[in-house]
Amino acid sequence: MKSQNSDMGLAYLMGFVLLVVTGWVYWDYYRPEWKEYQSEFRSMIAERFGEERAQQIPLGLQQIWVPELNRVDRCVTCHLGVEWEGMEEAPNPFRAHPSGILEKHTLIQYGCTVCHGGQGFATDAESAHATSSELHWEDPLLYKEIGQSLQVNDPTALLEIKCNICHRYDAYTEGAEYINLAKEIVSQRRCQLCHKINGQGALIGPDLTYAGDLSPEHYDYTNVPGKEAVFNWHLVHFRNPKDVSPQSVMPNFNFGPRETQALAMLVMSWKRANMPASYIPPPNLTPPAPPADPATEPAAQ
Amino acid sequence: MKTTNPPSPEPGHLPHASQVQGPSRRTFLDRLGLGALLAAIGGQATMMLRALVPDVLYEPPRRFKIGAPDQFPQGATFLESERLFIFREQQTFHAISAVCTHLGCTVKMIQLNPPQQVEIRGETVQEKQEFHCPCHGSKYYGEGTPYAGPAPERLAWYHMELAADDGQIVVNLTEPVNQDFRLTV
Amino acid sequence: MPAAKTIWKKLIWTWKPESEFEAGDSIVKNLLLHWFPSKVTFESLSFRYSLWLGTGSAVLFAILTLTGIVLMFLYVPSVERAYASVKDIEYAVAFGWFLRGLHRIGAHLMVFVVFVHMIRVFLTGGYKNGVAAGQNRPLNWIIGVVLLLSTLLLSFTGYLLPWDQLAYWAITVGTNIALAAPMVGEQTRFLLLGGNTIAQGALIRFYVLHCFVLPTVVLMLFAWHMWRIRKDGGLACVDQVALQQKREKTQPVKSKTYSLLGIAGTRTVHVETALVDEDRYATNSSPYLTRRLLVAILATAVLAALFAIGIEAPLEEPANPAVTSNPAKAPWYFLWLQELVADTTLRFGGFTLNGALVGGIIVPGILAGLLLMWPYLDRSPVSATGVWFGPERLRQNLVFLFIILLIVILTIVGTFMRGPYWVLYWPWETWVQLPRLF
Repeated sequence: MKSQNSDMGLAYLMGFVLLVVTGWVYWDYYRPEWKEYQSEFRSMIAERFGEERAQQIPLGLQQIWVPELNRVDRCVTCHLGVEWEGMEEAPNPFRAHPSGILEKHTLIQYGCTVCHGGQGFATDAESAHATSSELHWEDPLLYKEIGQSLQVNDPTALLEIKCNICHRYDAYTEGAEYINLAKEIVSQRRCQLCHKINGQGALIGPDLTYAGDLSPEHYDYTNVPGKEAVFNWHLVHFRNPKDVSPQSVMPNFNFGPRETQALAMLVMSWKRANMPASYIPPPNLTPPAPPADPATEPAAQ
Repeated sequence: MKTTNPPSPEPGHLPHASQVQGPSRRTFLDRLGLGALLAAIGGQATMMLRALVPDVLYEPPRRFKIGAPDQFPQGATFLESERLFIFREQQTFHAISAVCTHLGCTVKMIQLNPPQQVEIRGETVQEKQEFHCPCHGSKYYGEGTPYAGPAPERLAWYHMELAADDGQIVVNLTEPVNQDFRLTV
Repeated sequence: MPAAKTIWKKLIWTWKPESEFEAGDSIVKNLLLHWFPSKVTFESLSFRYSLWLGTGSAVLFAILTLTGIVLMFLYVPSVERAYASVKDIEYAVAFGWFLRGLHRIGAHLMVFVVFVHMIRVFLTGGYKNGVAAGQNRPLNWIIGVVLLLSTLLLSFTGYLLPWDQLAYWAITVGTNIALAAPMVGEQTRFLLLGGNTIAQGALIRFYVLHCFVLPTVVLMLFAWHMWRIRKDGGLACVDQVALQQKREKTQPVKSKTYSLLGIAGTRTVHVETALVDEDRYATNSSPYLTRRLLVAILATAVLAALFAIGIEAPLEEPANPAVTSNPAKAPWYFLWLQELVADTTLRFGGFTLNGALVGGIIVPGILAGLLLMWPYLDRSPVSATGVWFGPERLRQNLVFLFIILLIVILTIVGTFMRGPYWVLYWPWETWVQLPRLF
């Protein structure tokens, strides 16, 4: 008797493979990266503050939805210690946020990414921090990793770029040291003699009012070493304009690394702020008395 | 895929698997295979349905912080967007919902000056405020029990606790409590 | 009648018939099985003849429909919300990444499988009529070509929906090629987009075309396509079997089974037997066709699932009309056309040959026209019907394969060897990095 054809055997084999594949997808769903962080945080809290307080920690995907800003931020799924008093020295992602600024910019009203950058939609660290160009996300987390790849003076200060998107009309913003320095330089050096800034100024150089919105492909990187990034272009340009554009008439102000970073940050912060008027603060036009610090005074022109 | 062609069947009778090879091993493998297949299909179908159960909600959260205890004055505070009345008496707090149990309008709080004496469930109480609903005329005593109008039930009271991280008061709309509940800070 | 059946037996006997009678009866007693002939030739069942590509296409369509329905609950077709809804599917929906990946890879696979199915039908002369009267395989071929075009359109309309840079610029390229059509180009583009630019009008039109109109068209054409196969007496290889039988003389056998070929040949039951239904050449559809179908369905599902896990569905930056993708590419199945368009833009003196017209309209127009008309231009004899590389059709098969090869080469060049600025990169060369903000 000829044996049965092996179709059903083959079908069962395929069924088995499909089962393995399905099982893998389920396993992937039930063991995401953030679950590990949540259980680690729970044990940390239980150890320091007791089991009862640890029970209050919410489990599962967490998100802060800010409809006015059209953003959703899932950072708090892993960054669980953001509002915990006592976790200020904890390692990231469990560290508490500095409380002063958080009181003025509450989580519920602002979320996280509007100040820090990053991809709020994401639920794993790499996608959320969005440092890699593979992720096709033009708003990376402005922190050490990005700063180190750009070789700036102080990577942790990059965050202030985003402060200035709303606070651009302040003469002085508390906590934004580099931006304040840059604004001082702009008024001392009188950049508006050649450039339009905030809608006012001359047209000898380009209009910088919304310079931060300019797309990266509009810059010429032939004389910019390292990464082809707009920020790098600005760093080189402020160091010596003729290095980047030999025909430029912009004078060389001999800015040091701190000033070039500050100015590059300022220019990149000049973007159209797409947010409701209630989010734009009234401008603080009173600068505090500037400390006399000869080290930062640039050479006389 | 190389498979043998199906055999020519004798008229009237198709061979059973059990007649071809050892019966129990063949049927066991068959059953195992069938089980795997059905499990796989079931798993895929469940995936498709599970995707429709939301894991995140684009809604205001049902459990939320309302502020530090010291932020609240003595007496009543109305939180408009959360539709809640927060009551403070010295160091005890309780929260009463402002959602009318008839058809969901937001009730108004009426201050009673001077306070009135009312009888609620056999007990005589001094009332400083009560709630009136503007939509269909329901009226509630200060602790939420309805006494006039179409409202079928008392106003909901919700669980309160202190947040573990920063000590703010947390109201939990998913956990209704009875009228004896108090949060003492 | 056999002894009283158990409940289980009553439910599944049509799928596991235990007698010749049950096998034949199951076809008329089961809604799903009435689709099939009661007997099917071994040749039709074989993997080597048809490669079961038509079934593969249908299974992929079913997978796309199922995953598509789930995605419809989650995706929002508005320019403000589309991108965010796709991000949410990727990150915040249970198994969302997998369903989206399956849908996308299923779409690409379906275009590929339908294309290869067409190649198979051509190479086996399956578009030709055979020995029976009343066949119209050329019609079924035309239905098939329209199904291919519908599949391409389904993929194209779906491509826009994520509303990211990839989607936006691919559709820009695609609709601008359509613009080159003489006389009707502008109007076609205007109606397709619901305006002059790719905006909300285009998105909602593409969405309705993708989710409702085109699937309905495909379903109806698919039903007709299957019905035509039954009317034509089965796959083209069946005619070969019938021809072979004519060469053998068989004893007249009384049989109750009629075949279309037997009746259509105006022979009575007694002169020649039930022909193709003879035990030597055919077997019962239930369970042998159904079992093989199960294998084909599962194999396709497994392949699609493995691809979906291995190849991530892309999602680039949100669509930005102010910033062009570099390079801006049409979806891969149109890249051969885009490559042609780029290569046929020629300048002689003051005169410019419009590549979009040549590569985008004329060449595909001619090819599509030839494809549709070929069954009527083909003069090969019946002996070449339903045979792989029949010697009488050798020349046309070679020319056909040559054209396919050109298309494949152009597609490979367009997909893998064209980098930023449409510069040609050899496979070992790395593409230039594009500038970023940080």
